[in-house]
Amino acid sequence: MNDELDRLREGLREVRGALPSRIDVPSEGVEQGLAQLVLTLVEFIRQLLERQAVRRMEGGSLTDEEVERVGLALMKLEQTVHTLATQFGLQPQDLNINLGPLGDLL
Amino acid sequence: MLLLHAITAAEAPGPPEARGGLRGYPLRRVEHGGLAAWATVWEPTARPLDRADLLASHTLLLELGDCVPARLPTWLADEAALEARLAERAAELAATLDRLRGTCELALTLAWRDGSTMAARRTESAATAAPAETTSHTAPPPTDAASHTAPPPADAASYTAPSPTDAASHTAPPRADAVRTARLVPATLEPGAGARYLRARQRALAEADERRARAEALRARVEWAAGSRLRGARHQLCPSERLALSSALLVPRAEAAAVRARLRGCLRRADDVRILVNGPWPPYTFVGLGREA
Repeated sequence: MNDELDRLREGLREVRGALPSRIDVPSEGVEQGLAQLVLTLVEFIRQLLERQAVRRMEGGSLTDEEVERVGLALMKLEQTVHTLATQFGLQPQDLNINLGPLGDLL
Repeated sequence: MLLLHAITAAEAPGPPEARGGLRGYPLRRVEHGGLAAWATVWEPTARPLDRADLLASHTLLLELGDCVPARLPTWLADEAALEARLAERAAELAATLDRLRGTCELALTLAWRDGSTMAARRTESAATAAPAETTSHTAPPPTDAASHTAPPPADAASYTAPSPTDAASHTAPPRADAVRTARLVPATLEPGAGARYLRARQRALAEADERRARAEALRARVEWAAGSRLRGARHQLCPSERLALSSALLVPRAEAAAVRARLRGCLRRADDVRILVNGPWPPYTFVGLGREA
């Protein structure tokens, strides 16, 4: 988890100043755009949790029951994110943010 | 209305006077403070810009030679507005022009070959010898082997991912690079579904990490191949499911052909990727990347 946070922190530091100072936000797309932003951040956090869960599983610090429970929780969270995305007309690949020179967030 | 193409030094010769702009519209040159801006006089009622205009603008930039390409489209009301813009950003533009003078951009794409496997990549990595030295570089090329030693998790090989349509009929896990779009959630949850889900993720993440490590090794090899000719680089590792690496390389224009040849030579043993080199182009990618370049 710390590695990912460090990478994110470093990425944000690098991208500062490289992004445009103004962003064009068409009024008709505000709702979908906001949903895309929020769901992308949720998906980003979900993937961080997923990596952490996998590491703990590999490290043997989770019991079989905990592995099952965490797996189910992550599975349902993924399903919920994708269901919400569909309701806003978004595809799974839309849940991303282009960070300019740094590439995509996910 | 003016459609700005690029900024050059005022003393640069530019294209022939008879040359027009896009779609045969007049080409205007506006000078200020040692800089010259090149723009097409645009008809406000003209149809929207399309691919042909993009290519025509690219051709014009090639003719201009050393230049700072403008973002397309960049519109200005008239010549006075263009001159004011030049005055406002003169120092920045002059510095960028100096930085990019005599350079061009090569676009390198490395696409995963169909059917390539991590095992094949490991074999290639182990078999790859240091490319023959043809320049003054003395350091060996970056080795890939270190990044290919981690086998997939032992329990991942026997994993079967649940299918959304038939939870009992398990299929192969998704490609590692499709981890974001994989649909692994079954319609009904059978006992053990959570653990299988997490192990599917474990395998997918391990493969994605391994592919990224391989892409990183390729990036290092690309930079090694370009060597001291490299003035700047921007890389995207695994930018899509099909691509291992997408790189923009800033190199001296006079040495672009040599760099292309050296890239091809150094990557020829990487049989898990197909190599595509485009350019030389105007240094589009590096206009706003002074600090990184």
